[in-house]
Amino acid sequence: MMKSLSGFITLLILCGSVLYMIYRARKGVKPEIRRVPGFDVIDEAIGRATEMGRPVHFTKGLASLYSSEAPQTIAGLSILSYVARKCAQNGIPLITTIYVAETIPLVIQMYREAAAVAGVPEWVNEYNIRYMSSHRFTYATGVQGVLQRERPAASFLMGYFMAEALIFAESGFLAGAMQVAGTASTSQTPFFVAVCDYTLLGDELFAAGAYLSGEPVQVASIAGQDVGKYWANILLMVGLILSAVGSNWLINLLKL
Amino acid sequence: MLGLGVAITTVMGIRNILDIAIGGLITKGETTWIVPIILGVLLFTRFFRQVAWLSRWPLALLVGIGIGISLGSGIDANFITQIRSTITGVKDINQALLGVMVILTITYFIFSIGKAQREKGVLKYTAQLGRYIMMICFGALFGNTVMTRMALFIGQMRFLLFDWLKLG
Repeated sequence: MMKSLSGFITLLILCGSVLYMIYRARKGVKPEIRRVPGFDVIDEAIGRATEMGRPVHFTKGLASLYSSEAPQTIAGLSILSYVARKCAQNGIPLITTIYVAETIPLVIQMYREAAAVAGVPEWVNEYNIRYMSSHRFTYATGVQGVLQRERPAASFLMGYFMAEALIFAESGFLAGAMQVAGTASTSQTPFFVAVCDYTLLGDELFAAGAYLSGEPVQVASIAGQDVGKYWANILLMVGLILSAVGSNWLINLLKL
Repeated sequence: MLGLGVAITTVMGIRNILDIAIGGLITKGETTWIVPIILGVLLFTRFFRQVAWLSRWPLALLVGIGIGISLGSGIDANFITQIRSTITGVKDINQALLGVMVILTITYFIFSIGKAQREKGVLKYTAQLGRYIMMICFGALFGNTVMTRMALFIGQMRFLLFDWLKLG
């Protein structure tokens, strides 16, 4: 529940800017967003798996569809959709390990759509969509097993992760997989940065989902969110200057 | 282990449905439980091709509720409170530097910038600095976690060797 007036105004600014950008995109004005090097690495990893004739592994982490980390899962699913399309086009198996059971139908649908777009409906093999467990370390053990047995050439870790992040990344490394990770979980990002070949940092995960989907509406929503970042920077700059000269005006305003 | 984990989750799920939802509906007469029961049943329609589309409704509801809840609390906790804490009590150079670093890091995450800005605008340099700041932070976090784990390991080894086996 919204607790403060300042929070409500910020919410209005954020939602307003996102809706405005989406409105513009629907009118045909697609905003330009910068390409992050990590986006290219996704293609490179899939290309590597194709050349080696080995499968690709994907996990979208631990967050459900209704927790505060849900946006990370949704971004992970957007990237999964792209990865599935590429794998279907190249004819290589994509193994998705699942922690949250509710996402299974979404993943199956993505596999089917990817196969339909690529014109290879026979590519869908539901055995490759593997529900492990909804207990964190049981899930981690299951993913470790998949990585060791199947030896994927590429492993994507996109979504919300906790202490098991390093278990996945180390197992993928030992299996010889090229690993691309992406998470907005600050406590786990250092481990991904240390072990994986490329890491999408924080908001890059959300941008990747939108960028790779190529949909003007999703790209517009990223541009709309940027307004929120400018808003945060303005508040910080004004606040720092005022605070340095001993004024608590903005701090009190943000408490309203 | 994996089978055990799945089995426990299944049993707990069935018990929750029987005890909380169906139990609440039948024994306590709480009719509101009908809504989640129906939504839960709709999830299984995906096994029947003709009505499979119905399984999307409970999922859509879950996503909508999740986003609604996280928006309300998230803006306060992750936006307003963070900004207020950063700008509170700027008395020394360290506090001011912290604020500047936050601003630089945020500029790294601005994606909708034109080609000219990206190649030679001021955002190019601020974003680069923001990236370096994040890497320093990640290094510190990584080192801190490794040191914590090492301290736990040394503590356990001391207990095993000196307290338990009485070797020292």
